[in-house]
Amino acid sequence: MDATGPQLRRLVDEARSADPDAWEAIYRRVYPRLFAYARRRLATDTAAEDAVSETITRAMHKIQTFVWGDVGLDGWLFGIARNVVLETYRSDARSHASDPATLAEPTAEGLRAHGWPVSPADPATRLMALVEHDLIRKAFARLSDHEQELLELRVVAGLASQDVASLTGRRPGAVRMAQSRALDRLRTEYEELSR
Amino acid sequence: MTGDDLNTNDNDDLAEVGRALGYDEERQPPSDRVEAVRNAARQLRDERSALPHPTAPRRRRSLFAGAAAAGLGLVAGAVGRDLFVGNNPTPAPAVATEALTLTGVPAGVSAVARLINHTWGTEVLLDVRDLPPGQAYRVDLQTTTGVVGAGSFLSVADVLMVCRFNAAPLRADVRAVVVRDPSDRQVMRADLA
Repeated sequence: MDATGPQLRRLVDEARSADPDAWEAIYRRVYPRLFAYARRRLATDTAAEDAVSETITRAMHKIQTFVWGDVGLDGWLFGIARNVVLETYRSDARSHASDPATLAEPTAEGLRAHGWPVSPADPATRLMALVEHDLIRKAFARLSDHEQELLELRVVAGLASQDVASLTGRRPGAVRMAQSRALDRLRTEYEELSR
Repeated sequence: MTGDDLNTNDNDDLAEVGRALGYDEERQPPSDRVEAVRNAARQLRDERSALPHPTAPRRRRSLFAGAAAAGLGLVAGAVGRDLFVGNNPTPAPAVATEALTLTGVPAGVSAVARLINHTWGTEVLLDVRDLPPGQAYRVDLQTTTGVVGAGSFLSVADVLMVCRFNAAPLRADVRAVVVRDPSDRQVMRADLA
């Protein structure tokens, strides 16, 4: 999500006229974050990819209603994605993996279970990363749902506190404080699990 | 990630948490889905150019579910016009239809559903292919007063099944359309407003 403000505004203008290049650029731009968010809540890669595709489809037909405000394009798209994932989640409980710690089980030959970065590092380093990430996921699972969402909106969705505030109906300052507290709690849980 | 409010250590830790939670900034969408997005934009642009009021608000919704695995193009729903499954255009119906958003569609299955609000009840239009063949599937309407069966169909291999189901409940009372397999398990559904 590295386009500058003017570039992004031009992209949205082109998207409003249903320009295929603009929509491909938007899709590619948000795919890693939306996929990661959806994948944590849905059971398969395909389900997560479907959710991202559905998000883009809805956005394509709603882009005329998008206005620049507290929530930028990323926050707006993420708001749609939340609804898509929630609908999928509610419609088919079988697709819901309830334990986030089980969602990203690493594969034996590499680190990519779903969206998992394949590291060029040596096997020992990769093993350490596996163990550390496993601990992080377990520590994360110990947080409250609210704390998890606040951190997820930041680290997975990549949203600024202003966007998170608009999405969650809170003040930016309160979001920053809550995220900081949630991060502290995550560190505490992580250290406890590391002992 | 934005760095608008936390310190460097916080941001380093947050980045690591993001990676642990599956965020991979290098992840690329599958090429067939990229093409589906481009096709959808082209289709939308073409539709707008054909409309007398191209900026009029639209109620259209569509779903790509299963398109990649099925090797099909975009599966798009429309209000009353131009539905496509892969390269098989469905003729535009003469009456107004309401596009439904199907969820839970199994991987590899393509499905498009619409609904007609009749004075005598509700008609469901379901175009589906690549369900496991040889099984009878049931279509139910979930209504404000309970579940009403709308009909059933036998899945056939490698055929786009163009199905129509009719039932007495009025559209205003219908809350969902549900497709179930012979074991009574939900295969896909569309929730209605």
